[in-house]
Amino acid sequence: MNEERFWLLVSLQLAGEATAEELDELNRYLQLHPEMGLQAEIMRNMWKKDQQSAGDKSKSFDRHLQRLSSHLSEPAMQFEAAQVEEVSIKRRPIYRWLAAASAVAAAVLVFFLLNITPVENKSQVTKKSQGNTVATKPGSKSQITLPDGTQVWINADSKITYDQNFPGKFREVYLTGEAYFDVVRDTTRPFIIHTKSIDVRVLGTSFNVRSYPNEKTTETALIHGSVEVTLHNVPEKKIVLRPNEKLVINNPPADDSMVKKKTPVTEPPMLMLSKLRYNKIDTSSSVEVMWVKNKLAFDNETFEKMVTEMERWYNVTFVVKNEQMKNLHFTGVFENKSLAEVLEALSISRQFHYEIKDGKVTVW
Amino acid sequence: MNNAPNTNELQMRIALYEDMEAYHDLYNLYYDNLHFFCFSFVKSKEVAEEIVSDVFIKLWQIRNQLQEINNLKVYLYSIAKNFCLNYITRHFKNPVTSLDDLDIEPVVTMNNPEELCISSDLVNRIRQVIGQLPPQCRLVFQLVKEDGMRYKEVAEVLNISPLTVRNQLAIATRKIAEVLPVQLEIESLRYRL
Repeated sequence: MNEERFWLLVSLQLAGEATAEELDELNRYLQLHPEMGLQAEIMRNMWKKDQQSAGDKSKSFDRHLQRLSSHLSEPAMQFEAAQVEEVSIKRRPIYRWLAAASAVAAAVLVFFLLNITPVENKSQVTKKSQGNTVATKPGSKSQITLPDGTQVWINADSKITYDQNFPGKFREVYLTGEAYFDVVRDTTRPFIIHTKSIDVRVLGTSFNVRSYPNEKTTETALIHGSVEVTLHNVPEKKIVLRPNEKLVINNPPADDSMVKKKTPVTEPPMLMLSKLRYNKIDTSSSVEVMWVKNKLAFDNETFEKMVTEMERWYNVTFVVKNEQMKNLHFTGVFENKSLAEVLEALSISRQFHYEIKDGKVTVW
Repeated sequence: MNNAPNTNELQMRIALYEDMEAYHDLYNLYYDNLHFFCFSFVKSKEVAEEIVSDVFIKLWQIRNQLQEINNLKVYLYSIAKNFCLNYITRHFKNPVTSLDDLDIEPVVTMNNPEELCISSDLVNRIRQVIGQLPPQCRLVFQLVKEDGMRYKEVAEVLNISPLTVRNQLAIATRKIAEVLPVQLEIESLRYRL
């Protein structure tokens, strides 16, 4: 063996790419030529690296997030799925797990940093001159048809207000809570849904709007067609949703004096545009609109969020004694199941106890 | 404290749940090495950081197809390399035809040279040798030693054959060995070998 071969073997060993035979050959050579041992040993030691600690790169990550947000807010920067083909891709149809999805979904994440100052709560207006209000209580849902033929499914503990005749240039409704809209197409009269923090403007499409007063976020999920969302405080920034996208907005806190962040007070809440979620087993509709079909659905949801949902769905109150439970995650779809059946199923998967008594559920 | 997060697990969490925490962990896991890698090409810490950021922007944009990527590490480095080459082309006008046309800044770490009985003088000589390796050879050495890549992975990132990777690493190893001492100084003999 010559020296060239020796160093080839050493390099193979250092890289962890040597076969057993090659290692044998190397060892035999070293036994015959111990003088090479020192150099080999130094190389070996030099090669070792300290375990790379995934130390906190928070400053650079923060800078990265800033770039991510501004980068993606430009409409031009919508990468198509095809670009993934570049490197090391298994040949698989890209959306095979989205079996039922009808439209192509280009997932775009947008972080908007906006100024939101308190806004007059439009949804408080319950009585207009010819106003109609349809309200649901916890535990019940409703479905109505608006004057133009638009169908609205209203989830529990929600309220819709609209003018009987839809006068004027627009078809307008005011929403608190959650509703699914199937809007009749009328290009001459845009359909507008007002909620506390956003307006949703549509031409003829199906989508879901969720704006409960006690929740931290407002969500708009688009199924068909297209909608344009406007935030009350930044009317010039309009966000257009495409099918299978949803928009989630952090609602401003009720009490502004509580907004104590290290960033200046003008630092705005976040707005996130993302893709609708589909349960792996029941892909008939996205998780966001399963309630319309009377299916209670959770997609990797924290127990804390689920409790709020179940309280509304079944009109009960929950007392969760075990604080740690609140962070457990659950996934599941329950169709036409009673509260007891749902809790029974959940308790099996995560081992907790519960008791239902007089409209109150205790969990520990 | 949990074990260091595993790339595959993070990949899955980002793809299926758009898990920001996993995304953050992934960033932390690869930032240092990717930064070094990019630095070798662009020779500026700020530009290198921007390019790593661009890589992670791209990753987030395709997050829903992330599960289809066989080897995320190779993917990250490949994208990083492409962005670096774009940057170089934009800033220096000459299209890059081969990696050997580039001036690759060597970034090689060495553990505690004192423990290895090597003087700082020798460390410098080693760095010099690495600096004199042909650029592609230098990159190969770096990716295997610093980034812990397999030959196949290096081959994919650099668009060369695994055999070339193997041979170039052997060349780099031998050249470095040429400056290493054959004998220890007497006073260092207290160290075990």
